[in-house]
Amino acid sequence: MGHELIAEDRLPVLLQEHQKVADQALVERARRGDQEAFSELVRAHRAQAYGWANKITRDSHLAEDIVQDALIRAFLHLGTLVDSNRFLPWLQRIIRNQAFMKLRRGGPFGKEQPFTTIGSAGAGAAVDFGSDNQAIDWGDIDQILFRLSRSAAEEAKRSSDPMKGLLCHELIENLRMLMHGLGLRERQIFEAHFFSELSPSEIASLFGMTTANVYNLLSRSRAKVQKERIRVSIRNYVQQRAETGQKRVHILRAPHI
Amino acid sequence: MSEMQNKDWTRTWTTAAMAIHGAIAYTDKHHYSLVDVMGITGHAFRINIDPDHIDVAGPTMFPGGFLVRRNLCNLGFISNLSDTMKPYTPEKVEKVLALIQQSIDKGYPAITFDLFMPEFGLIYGYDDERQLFHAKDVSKEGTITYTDFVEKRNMLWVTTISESLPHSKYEILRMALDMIVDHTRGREWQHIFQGQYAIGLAGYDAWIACMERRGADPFGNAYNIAVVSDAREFAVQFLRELANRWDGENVVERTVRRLASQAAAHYEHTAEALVEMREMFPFPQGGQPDDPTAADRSAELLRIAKEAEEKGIEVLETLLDFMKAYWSEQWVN
Repeated sequence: MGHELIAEDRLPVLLQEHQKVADQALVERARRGDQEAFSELVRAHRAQAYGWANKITRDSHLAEDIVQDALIRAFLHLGTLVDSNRFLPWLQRIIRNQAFMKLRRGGPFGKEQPFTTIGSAGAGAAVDFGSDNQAIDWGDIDQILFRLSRSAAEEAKRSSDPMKGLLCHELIENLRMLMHGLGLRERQIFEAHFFSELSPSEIASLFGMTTANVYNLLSRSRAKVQKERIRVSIRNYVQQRAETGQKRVHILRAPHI
Repeated sequence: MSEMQNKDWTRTWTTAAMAIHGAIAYTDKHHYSLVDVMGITGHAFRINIDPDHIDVAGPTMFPGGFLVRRNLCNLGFISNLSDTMKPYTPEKVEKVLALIQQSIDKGYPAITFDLFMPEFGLIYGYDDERQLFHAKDVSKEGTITYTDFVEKRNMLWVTTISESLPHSKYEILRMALDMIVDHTRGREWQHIFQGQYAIGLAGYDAWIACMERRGADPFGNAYNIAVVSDAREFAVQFLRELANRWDGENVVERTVRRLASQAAAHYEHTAEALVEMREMFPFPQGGQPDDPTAADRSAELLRIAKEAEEKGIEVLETLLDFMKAYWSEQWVN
């Protein structure tokens, strides 16, 4: 009897260990671009990810959005995850950061938050959002990511295979373009901040820099990425006009001024 | 006023009016002269002064979205505005580009600011293949890439003409007078510029005070006097044309003639004093506004200009009150 009891006690732990090993293998495969492996990771952890998000937001729709965004971020930046062993804590961190970011901004409804969530959201954000993230408003960069992921998510809805749409080529291409103007160092730090979800002080110790340096670098990178974002959106706009057969060139006579 | 007879009435230092006039030349209301536009928009009656040192930016520091669209409204147009601030979202950038392109597709240039210099100008063409706009302001005619257009400014300020509406000459005059009186009396809505710039009659006071403490920046001072003196010359011309054009058929027409010519006489004194001051501080070198003799004389000229304008605005207030009570386009009496 006693023996069995111990085994039963140990069962969840064993399962966790097993899952961890399985995750590690999947992460390794996904990193090499294996979409099936990433889908497997998503299937294994989606419910848990949703649970984390829902705990913070107390809003099922918002939580669903956050999970969607977080999974895309996770897939795109699996490469920046230093230790494949740490997939789950990393994913949790992304979810948590995304959730607080959205709550801080007032959720998907902007200022018109559904009144059922007002109390809990306010309290949650006040209690738990005290990290260095507050010093800089990363909202703009995140808007890019949200926008990119939003269009990917819409694609996913249309497509019969949701994961295929989710991981669409265009999304990755767009992100690559955004990072285009950055130097190697800037890029590493930028990625560490945005995609590995590290705080400036963590990045500073990782790269042997001062926190002030990290802030400088981040803000410079952010300006560059922002510039690139505008260029990308102008290119897309012009391309869209061309695809919908709109006029390409229209020049009126020069005005008398 | 001999100088005014030689004045070129197709050019003005007020680039907002220049751009508006340039844009409406593409519409059914192309018959409006620059004098009409300067008067009807109230730009001929503006004075927007930086009290600290008569900064060169003063004349264009007003809520442009509000003012230019109201200007267009006075002229009989409904209009569109973008005044989105940096950092821009991709959606907003697309909307602004579309706003400009839609306007050009309608045949109207888009009014904007700071194309080749920090003044109002027009975008009159687009080229998606090369991703650039064709544009013109008073300094230059040329092209500007979509990217530069977006990146090189902190606000994507664009006003476009949406539609031209039928408009009554009585209403036009009443609306113009309403703006002129509000500005001169300092009641015009100033938005973020509130308290930073002195407008209307108070603008003269701020300028006089700055001259008395010898605080004027030579460049800014010369530019401001060039803009304001030119504007008042247009004001006189506008009022004179009003007095000539309106006929003596009925009491309204006769009242407009009488009061417009009375006001013109006062504004002529204003313009004369300002033109004399302009000659003391030619743009761009600007002369020596801190020279005691020059500074004291210009304070005196500004006082003369203000006193005449005070009398002028009283007449225009009477005319506005009168116009408020008249609504009939045709009157068989």
